[in-house]
Amino acid sequence: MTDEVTLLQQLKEPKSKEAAFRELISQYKERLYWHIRKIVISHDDADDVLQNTFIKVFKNIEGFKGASKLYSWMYRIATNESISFINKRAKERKVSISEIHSELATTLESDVYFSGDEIQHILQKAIATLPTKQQLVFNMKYFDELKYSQISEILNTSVGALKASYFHAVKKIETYIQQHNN
Amino acid sequence: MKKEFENSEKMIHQVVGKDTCFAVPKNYFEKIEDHFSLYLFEEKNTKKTNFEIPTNYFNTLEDSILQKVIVPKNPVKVISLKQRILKRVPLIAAAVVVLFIGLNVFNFEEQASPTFEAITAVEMENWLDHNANNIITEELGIMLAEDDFLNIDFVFTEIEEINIEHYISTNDDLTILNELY
Repeated sequence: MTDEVTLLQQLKEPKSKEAAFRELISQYKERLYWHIRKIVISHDDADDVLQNTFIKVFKNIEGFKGASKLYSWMYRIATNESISFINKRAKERKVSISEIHSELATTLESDVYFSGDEIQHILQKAIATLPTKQQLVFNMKYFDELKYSQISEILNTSVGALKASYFHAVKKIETYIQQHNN
Repeated sequence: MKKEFENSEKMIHQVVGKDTCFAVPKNYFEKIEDHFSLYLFEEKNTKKTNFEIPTNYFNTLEDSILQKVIVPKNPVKVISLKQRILKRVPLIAAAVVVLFIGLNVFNFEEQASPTFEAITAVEMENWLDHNANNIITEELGIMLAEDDFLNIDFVFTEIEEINIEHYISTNDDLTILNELY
């Protein structure tokens, strides 16, 4: 596995860009996929967003100055692409973003790519009730087990605000599960 | 011995009291409860999302993405200029012959230059529809003689007084007032 600095150099060189980009996809595809999937829920939509993310990375890699880690930068693009996807879907259907989240969580019942039981489904519905930012923080902290400092770099939010967000998210989810789990 | 120890204790208590003087950050104990409730939540609930993916999805991902960003380099075919010209010679010759025959055999009648009378009413209406914004009403007024106005059968719709007042009050064109007097 090539280290980030070397990979970045290779990505900016026309001769080595293609091979380096292939390796970049290989290294980060799963982490980015699962991050996107938790936001957009459906596999097909996650696949579209993931591909758009990598295309954006490819087109803008020359402009990446290295102010943050490469992974944080890609994670940020993936997050923005996912949010844009949700916003676009809401606009097309002329409904609110929270309604779209709720709709997506409900579709899990008949989704062939979801193997969770009832409580798992309730958890996803609970997450869908959260504001977008809280959903992101919860997913990244709880499922991805990122450190607050890493989340801070991705979301450009202070650690203190993230801790508060995570706390509120957990409390709301807990309440939702207690209310809906018979 | 026991009494000695008790006396020592009393002495210490008299000197320093029971306070350790250790301090804690603000709201420390409230936050401990919060941290603990988060810990309990994470312990109680599974970390698995149970989202599944199609078989071999990640194995083919690189290829499908690269297809969208890397443009395939096709080999450029080089055709010599001589070959290109030679290819076209028979076509050029045929075109010259057809033109020669056409010019000498067929008589092209001169098209009569268009006259105003030849323009149909439909053509005039179409022109007016497309050029309404370019028409200057003063020019129309200059073109038409006074008798023309007498001959035109104007159809007036009933205009309510309130609409006339609104038009006058919102229209800054002083020529309206000049024409009234």
